[in-house]
Amino acid sequence: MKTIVSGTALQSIAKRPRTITTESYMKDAFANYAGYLNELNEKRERVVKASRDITINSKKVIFQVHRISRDNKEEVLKKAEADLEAVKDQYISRLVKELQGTDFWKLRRAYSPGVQEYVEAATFCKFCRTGTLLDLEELNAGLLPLSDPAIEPLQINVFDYLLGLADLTGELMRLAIGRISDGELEFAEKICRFSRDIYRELTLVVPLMDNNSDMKTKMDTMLQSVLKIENGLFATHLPLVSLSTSSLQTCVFVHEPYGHFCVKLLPSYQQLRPKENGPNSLEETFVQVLQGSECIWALLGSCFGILEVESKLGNT
Amino acid sequence: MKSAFRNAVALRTLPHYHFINPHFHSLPRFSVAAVSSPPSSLVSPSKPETFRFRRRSSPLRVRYSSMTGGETDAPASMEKQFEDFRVKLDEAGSLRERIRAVVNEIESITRLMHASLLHVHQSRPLSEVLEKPKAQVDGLKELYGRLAEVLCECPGEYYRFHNDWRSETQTVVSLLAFMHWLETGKLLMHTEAEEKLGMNQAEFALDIEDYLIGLCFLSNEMPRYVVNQVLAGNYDCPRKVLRFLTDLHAAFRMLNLRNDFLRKKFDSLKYDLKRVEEVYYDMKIRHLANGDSAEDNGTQGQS
Repeated sequence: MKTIVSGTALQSIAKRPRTITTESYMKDAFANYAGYLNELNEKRERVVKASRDITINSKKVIFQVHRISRDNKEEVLKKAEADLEAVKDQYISRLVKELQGTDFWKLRRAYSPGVQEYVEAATFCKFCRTGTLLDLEELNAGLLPLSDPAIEPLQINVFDYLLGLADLTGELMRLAIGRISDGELEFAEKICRFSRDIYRELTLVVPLMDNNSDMKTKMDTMLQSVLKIENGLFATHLPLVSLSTSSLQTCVFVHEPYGHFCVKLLPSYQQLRPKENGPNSLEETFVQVLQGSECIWALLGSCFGILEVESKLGNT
Repeated sequence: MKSAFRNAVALRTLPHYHFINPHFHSLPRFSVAAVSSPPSSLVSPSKPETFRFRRRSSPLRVRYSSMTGGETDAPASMEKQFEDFRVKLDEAGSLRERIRAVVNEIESITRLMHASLLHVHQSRPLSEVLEKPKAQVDGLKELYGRLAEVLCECPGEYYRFHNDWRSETQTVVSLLAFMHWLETGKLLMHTEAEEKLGMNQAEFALDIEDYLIGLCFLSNEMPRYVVNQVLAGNYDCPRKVLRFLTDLHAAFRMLNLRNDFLRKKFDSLKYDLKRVEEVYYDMKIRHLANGDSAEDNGTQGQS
């Protein structure tokens, strides 16, 4: 502007006062807007930071829960719960302080990932402890003490809660697979039922959510997780060894992962008890032998007196 | 399930393949279902092979009971919570529909206003051009009043539904600002815009970003306006517009923007300014601009 006006000497004198007033009224207003935007952006950045901290530390809680095993349940959960409490006191409280009762919806995109992760960690802990779902009300009640009672408290909204639940199934799947390999089948089945329930309930809720594109992808992942748990459990319900006996012959069918084949035993196998205090069913003995040694055939032969290895049943 | 099926078939045909020992036929307790191994593709790869053994107290007894018979419905508390969610989300959905209904009306009014304002490019007298859209402003204000009513039903959730009426409001701001500029040659201020729409309540204010985006839309209209004014013989117009846009651009440069929509629109303002500069340059170099010498001011451009 200046260059253009100053180029025309006569005009610049006539016009300059007006130019200045035009500029100043705009500048004043825009200085206000700039202040507003700066403040908002800085706040957003701080909220994003707080959210990231919540994410990291909630993830740690989840990993802690995954350290669970048959005999350390109490100890692991205690630590996880303490860590979770620490996340709430240190990081969520920072978020609460930032938001100070306002902009819950405006800045939601900035804090949503962290809150989702926290929901995931909290529900995960609670499930391992009680086998039930931590509901939103309970979760929000836990957050109340963080807020100044005079202002509107931070409450987790339905969307973040549901998005967190959707992620929970992934963790449940890992937990279930771990429990299966640890032999805690009852627990694994409980997890299976629980994640099915969540999936089923969510199918009804998701269509009602407004911008549910990321929720839809999460639903697909969730179904995959549920399927993995179910298939993992399915595998445990199949016998490794099956038996066929008649008056003349006893055949043992050996299945995956030990192969597909049929072993015919000498009729006298019943007299050959392989071990003192050992398992008393033939199938179990067989499995133990299969699992325990690389020289399967020698062992089987010595234990049972194999008549014949009939065939391979499949393409092992 | 393919591989399971294949295994089953293999077992059934077994006696024919291996008919060495007639006793093989005696498979009384042997069922296909019990033998078919799980399709390996369905089993998680992370699963160690050994787990199968440990828990099994009796490998032959297939324990389906806990999986099927023992299946209960989701606990009542869980059901209830999700039921509540559905009710809440349903309510939000109907609220949103009401907002959309109002927004649709706003949109049709803005379309009318915009169409009337387009007369400005056909060099109609200003008073005539502004007459119709000005008459619509009250209608707009009333609609925004209705929107405020709907939004006040859910205090504190202004921004939850903001996206549903955001872009329409930006258009409204740009139209109002254009009208205001045509009339006064000044920029419509944020508070003035709020005043015009009745959005000067604590719970229901005009978002500043929306206002700023509206201003960028306003600048998009300027190059065309300038060209058409020159065509109509108004040679003074480019200088006036150029001054306004330069001021506006300078003002916008005071803002620290994020990489978002507003930033993008602000970048477009720059091109509008450039185009107007070019028009002004063309006028000036042909001695058409008002009371100017032929001096080149260093504004770049060519046509």
